[in-house]
Amino acid sequence: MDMLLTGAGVIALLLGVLALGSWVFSGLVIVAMLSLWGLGDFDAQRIGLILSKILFRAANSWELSAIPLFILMGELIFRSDISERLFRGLTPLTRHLPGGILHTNVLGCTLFAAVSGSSAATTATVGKITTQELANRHYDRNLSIGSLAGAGSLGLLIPPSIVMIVYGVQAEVSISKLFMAGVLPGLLIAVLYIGYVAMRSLIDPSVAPRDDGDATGIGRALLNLAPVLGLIVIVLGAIYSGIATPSEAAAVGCAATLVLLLWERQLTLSLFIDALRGALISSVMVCSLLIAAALLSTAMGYLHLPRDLASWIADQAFSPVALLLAMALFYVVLGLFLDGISITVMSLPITLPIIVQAGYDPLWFGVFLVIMVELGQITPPVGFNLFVLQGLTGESIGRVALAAAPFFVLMCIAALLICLWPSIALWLPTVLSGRA
Amino acid sequence: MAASESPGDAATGGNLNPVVALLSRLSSALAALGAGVAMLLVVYMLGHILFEIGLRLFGRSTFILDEYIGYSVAAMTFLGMPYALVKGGLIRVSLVLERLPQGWRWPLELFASMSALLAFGWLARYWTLAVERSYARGIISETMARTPLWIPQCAVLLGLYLLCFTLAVRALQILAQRQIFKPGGQ
Repeated sequence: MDMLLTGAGVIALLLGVLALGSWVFSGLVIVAMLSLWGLGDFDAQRIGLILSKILFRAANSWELSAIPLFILMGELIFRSDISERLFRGLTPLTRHLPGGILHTNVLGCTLFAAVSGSSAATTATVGKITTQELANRHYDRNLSIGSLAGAGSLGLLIPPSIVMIVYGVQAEVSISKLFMAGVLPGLLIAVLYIGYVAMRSLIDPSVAPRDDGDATGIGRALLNLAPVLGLIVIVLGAIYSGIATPSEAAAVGCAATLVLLLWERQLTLSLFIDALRGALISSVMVCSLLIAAALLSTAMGYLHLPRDLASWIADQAFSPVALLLAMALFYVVLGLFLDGISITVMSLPITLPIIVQAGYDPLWFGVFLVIMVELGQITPPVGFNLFVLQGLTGESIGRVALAAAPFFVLMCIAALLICLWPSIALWLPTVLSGRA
Repeated sequence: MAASESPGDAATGGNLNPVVALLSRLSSALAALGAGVAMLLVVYMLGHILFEIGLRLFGRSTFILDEYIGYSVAAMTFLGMPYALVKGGLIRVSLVLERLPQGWRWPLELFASMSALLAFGWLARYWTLAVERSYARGIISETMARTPLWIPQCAVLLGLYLLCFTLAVRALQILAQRQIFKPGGQ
């Protein structure tokens, strides 16, 4: 019972500090200190000595270098004309399908997700072209916004993925294997979205007016897609073939993007510095959260909270399914108010031991968690994809969220399928890990 | 999305007390300096990893990649933190804050700055002791490079000091401006 009180105390403290407007990174550090002091009877000097060492140890990590490099790659692409090419390339390929070029949203995001590590960057990069183009061609506004919101979040699931790197570092799971495990679930969600868009347009053809304007041939289309396809082959090929770690693949991806921009005569010093600055701010945000979470995790460890909680859960003999359902609900509720990386770093010290205790594979749970985090990206009041789309379209957050609602349901269905057939996530790493 | 540049830089706000205004400018300049070094570190990481991959083709290695990239990540994070803070790039839950009337926000802004200052100030104090000990005892890394550990530790320490200074100046700005205080980058 003591353990439950301690757990409740820590959670209440955390929610209180965050609700008062603290930055998440400082909030985590404050709660780590206060819980050691108030709940663990540590004196202030001991807290300072322990946590200051963890601060350096958590930051001094070679694996984390994949974060700034993948973000830099995304920032460079965001500033190039690759998103326009993506649209121009996908238009002739999708024009004759039911749903027409609405599919450029889902396909564009799926392809871009394979070179980008973040969902907001994916939504913004693809959306900066498609939202306007689809509006000009009188496509259904709700479907246009909703499919982009839903598909944009694939940036987290389809590798490379910043959240997966964060999860891999925290849960000590191979990041390369996580990158493999995310592919099929990501494609599954994309297929569900494409099917839904096609079905809607078959039921009501007015949502996707027939477009005869652009008669570009398939060859030309593929030429436009070549840069992004090339980058995907380079980055994912390097990781999956086992020749490169995620950090190395990120560096190679950055170099390839720079070469591409140079080739296209788009690379300028100011573009590079802008991209670098953007990458720095995002990387510092992610790394500072990870470091702060390491402090909180250490504090929890000293309080024996994860271990006690896991053994308490084991004693209660909850069914693994009930546990997973409770966990899904917990993450969806957290996702209403917090961003994905904060959710991941804050919850894992507690949820991971429980889930491992219940017999789930941490690799599989990584994928499940990322889908839960993706759901959080499209639920109001705090959903980063909704914010990006609000900025892109000028619509209210409520309207954007409503448009995204069917895609939220489809993603829940995908999560259910992955629970029923875990091999959707685990098959690829099993097949490829012999070589990676 | 990373491109969260904004004109609403805290250092430029309202009619500030001249001392606070000077400190604000100094804090912004130092944050930008830290960010400049952090950005160079990102370029270094990119360069070193690519160089290492190139060497691997010839069956060679610098043997210090993991170690120095680790130091760089640590230094980048802490030296870049003040800049990310000033630019509003660090995540916070602004749900409550945004719904409060303007006049009620500043006490919470002050709380955020002061509590973070206390926490990181405390950590900086003990980290200073650790760095002093590393320096005094000449502790080196257990790697081929045998790097004196106080050097990377010092970069993190500098970042922590810079963060504390930025937070302290931010607290002063809030006290000086109260209702008219606008948090950076929002």
